[in-house]
Amino acid sequence: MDQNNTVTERRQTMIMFKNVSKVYGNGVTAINNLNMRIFKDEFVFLMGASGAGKSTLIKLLMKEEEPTDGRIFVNNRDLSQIKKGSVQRYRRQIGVVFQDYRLLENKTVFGNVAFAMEIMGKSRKDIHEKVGAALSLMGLSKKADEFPRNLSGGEQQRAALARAIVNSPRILIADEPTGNLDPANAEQIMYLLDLINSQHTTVIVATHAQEMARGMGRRILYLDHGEKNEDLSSAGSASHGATRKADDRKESGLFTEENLLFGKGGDDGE
Amino acid sequence: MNKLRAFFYIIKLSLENLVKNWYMLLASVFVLFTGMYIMGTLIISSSSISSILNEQAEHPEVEIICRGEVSDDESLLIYRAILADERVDAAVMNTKEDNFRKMKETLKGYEEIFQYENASSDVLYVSFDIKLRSAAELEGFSEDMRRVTGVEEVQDNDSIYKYFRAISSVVRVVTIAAMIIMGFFSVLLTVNTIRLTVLARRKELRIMRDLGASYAFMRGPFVAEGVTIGLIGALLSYLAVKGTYSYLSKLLERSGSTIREIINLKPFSAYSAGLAFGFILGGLAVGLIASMLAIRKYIDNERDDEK
Repeated sequence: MDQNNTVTERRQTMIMFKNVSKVYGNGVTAINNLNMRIFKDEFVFLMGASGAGKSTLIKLLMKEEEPTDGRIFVNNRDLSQIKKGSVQRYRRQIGVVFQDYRLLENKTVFGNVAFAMEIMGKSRKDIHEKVGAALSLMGLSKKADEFPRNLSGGEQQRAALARAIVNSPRILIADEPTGNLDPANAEQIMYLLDLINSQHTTVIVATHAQEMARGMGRRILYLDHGEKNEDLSSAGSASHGATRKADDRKESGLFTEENLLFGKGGDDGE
Repeated sequence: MNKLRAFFYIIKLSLENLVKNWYMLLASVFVLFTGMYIMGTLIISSSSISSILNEQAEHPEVEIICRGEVSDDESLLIYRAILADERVDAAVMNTKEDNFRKMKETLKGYEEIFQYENASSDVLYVSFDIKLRSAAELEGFSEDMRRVTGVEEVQDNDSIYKYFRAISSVVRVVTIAAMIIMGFFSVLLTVNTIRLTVLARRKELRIMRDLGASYAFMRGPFVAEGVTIGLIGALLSYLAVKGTYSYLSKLLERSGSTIREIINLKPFSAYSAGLAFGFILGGLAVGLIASMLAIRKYIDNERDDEK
């Protein structure tokens, strides 16, 4: 354990919550004196019952909400020092996916992913290249011209993932990404998140799926009424971080060969 | 280059929004058009009246009508006396023949009147059209002329101009009131139009915000939408005011010479530049204010919703 801690300390901190509290206007305490640290390239699960403060924590990270007390640092930058005019520039470092996918119904899969680049004013050539690559990574190349309504839940979430990573964010936040998916699709999404993490992106996944989180062998932060209850480094994963590849997951049995069809470049996995 | 691409993207989005919400676009443009049309008409009316009044102040006019029995020789004496008066800037004598000709022109189409009555210029009078050097001399000069032998009547139009002055004050007050009221309603309806678009694109905006789109980029399409509504309203109002003015000018040209002499309208070109500038500025202001209000309200509401 000591050895693990020593290794952990040496790693670069990506996110740090220092005595953070968040009390809403109606008196509800969502976060209570939270101290935590997430390392660069780490994959972390955020767990807790409804109302435990997971969503608030994500909002604080996205700087949608301001803490009532304490300070939050992202990549050594104090979020309280970011002025309103620079908040959007800060958010570009973070990719987000939600349980409800949040895809635009009037745009195709390609259009949805391209949208993330269009709003940055990226060139058409750049958009075609990067969107193509992101869709290929997510196994959605053949679905590029489909509209979200024609996709399964898993495909929609993969499209949302493609959109979240197309601008190469430093951090990827997934809020209940598997909440609406069946176990097979949920595993595919977790595999992809793991894959993204292996490409030097810090991944934070808020989820209720305890078994799946434990099965991944990554650090789990438990929140209980805004307080960090446990910090389990299951299977010593805090030290593993991104060094553990998706192939290792495959060997662990969590991802079977059947579930990894898109990993082999296929689009018909679902 | 990125900014240029973003600019065109914003324009594209705003046009898409306007096409999607065409019914609200029509409503907003209609309100803006009505407001600007009323304001434009009032402003031009006020300017025209002021111009007539200023002209009168610069060159006050008096018409002197002699008695019918005054002969041409006697009238010449009066004419010389008028010309010798230092207060007079210019004077024109209209003989009985001149006035008879004018009357015939005025009563064109009713020539039979002259035949039945066997009318000739003898039944008319000699008159003088006089321009004075200063409006301050008007009252004194008119009084003096009334005392001259052979003068039947002196018309200095002072009462008409007093009436115009009163109208001018009313029009000015009404114009200011209309500007405030119509401005308020134009902004209100444009805010609602843009808010409809904002609500329709709420999900898109939320995604844009999550993806880190700049505030300028998020606001851009709505501001462009407001400005487009403002400019369309301004253009239509300008054309309508121009059409109305041209129509009234033509109507005035066809009317009697007396009205033409009093209401001497300037050509529309005298107002066009100022009016176009004012309309564009007004349209832009309404569009910008409305879009800013619509977005600000939305952003505040959304933050509340999420808590």
